[in-house]
Amino acid sequence: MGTLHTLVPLSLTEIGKISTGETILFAIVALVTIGCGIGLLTAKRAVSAAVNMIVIMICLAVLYIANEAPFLGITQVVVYTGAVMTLVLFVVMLVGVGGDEPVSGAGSALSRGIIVLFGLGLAVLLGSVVIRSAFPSARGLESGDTAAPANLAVALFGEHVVAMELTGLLLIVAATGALTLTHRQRIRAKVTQSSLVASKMKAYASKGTHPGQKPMSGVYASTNSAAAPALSAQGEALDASVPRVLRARGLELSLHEVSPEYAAAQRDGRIRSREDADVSRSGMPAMPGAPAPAVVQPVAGRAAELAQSATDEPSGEPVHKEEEK
Amino acid sequence: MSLPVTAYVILAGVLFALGALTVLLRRNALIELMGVELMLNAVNLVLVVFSRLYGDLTGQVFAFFVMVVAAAEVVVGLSIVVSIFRSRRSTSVDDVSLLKH
Repeated sequence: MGTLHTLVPLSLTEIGKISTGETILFAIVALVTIGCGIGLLTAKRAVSAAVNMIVIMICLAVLYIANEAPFLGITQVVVYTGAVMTLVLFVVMLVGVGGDEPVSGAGSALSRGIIVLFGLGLAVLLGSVVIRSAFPSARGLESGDTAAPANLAVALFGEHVVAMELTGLLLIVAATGALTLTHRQRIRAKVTQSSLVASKMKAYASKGTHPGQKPMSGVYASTNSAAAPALSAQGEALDASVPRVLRARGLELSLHEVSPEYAAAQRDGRIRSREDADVSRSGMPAMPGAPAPAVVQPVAGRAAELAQSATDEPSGEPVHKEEEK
Repeated sequence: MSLPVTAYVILAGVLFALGALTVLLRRNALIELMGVELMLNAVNLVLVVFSRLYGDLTGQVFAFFVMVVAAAEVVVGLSIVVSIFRSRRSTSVDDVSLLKH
């Protein structure tokens, strides 16, 4: 603090000095603010720069409140951190976070040095002007009462009403400009549901692409991840069941990663396909094989009788028989 | 242990210089916009401190106007960044050199 005293000679009267508590607050907040300012200058990514900026805004709001401007401090938090920095973060996400970028990508070391010298010179110049200037004895706003919203409103809509109207005009122009700048004309026709169906059917007719839904990803005892492929009726892994994004990033799982036992069985030829599987057959016409299972109905006697006659005649046609009776 | 009110003004000067350096040194348009924001905020701090120094509310009223102008500036600036990014796939200000012969 002593060094600060020597750096900042007391150019004000005794009334213009701030209290000890406020000095401590100022020292802490000023350190955080300048640290975050350097962080903003040297941040590798736009996101960290935006986070540094948010901390600076909040610190400045604290300083406003300490400087008898409570309404302005709250507005600072609401407008800057609440709206402006959120908007900036939205655009950072829209544009893409991107990789690291150098603090100064272009320009020679000489020009960079000149720029840094300029910045330091600006700070030194401003500081020395403030130190060398003679300020009148500070008055201060009377106990924060005059900075109340009612008094601010009187000043805003009384003396500065024209500036207020112009501000409204500026906001309208800015909103219109933002809409115009981001407006995009449609290059292709809008994709509707019916046009999507038509294009799918056209692809089916010309290239044989399956028009329906793709199969869902597989569910296994070890995992139900969307990266696990489903199995076809032949027991093979279906590539189309894994989402396209996962396939493009190379994150899909192969069958032996999901189920090593199944993959080994498939390799040994122990997985039987649908054709040679031993399944019971219905016995319906054009479906040769074992007879249909008998349905036993204890209540209805006639149904049991029918079932009996059906088992007597294995390749019979129960429907026709019933009609004959 | 007490400081004069002008210590706030010196802090604002340092913040303004940091914002100016950010605008001059960085090549990312978004970070440059944040540097402009930092400069506007430093000026706001000066306005508030002088409002306290002179016991006059006009400084705070003008800080409000600066806030509104900054908000409008951010909206237009960000929409320019977005529309440039759409056509050039880059937010670097050095890449915007279509008019260069």
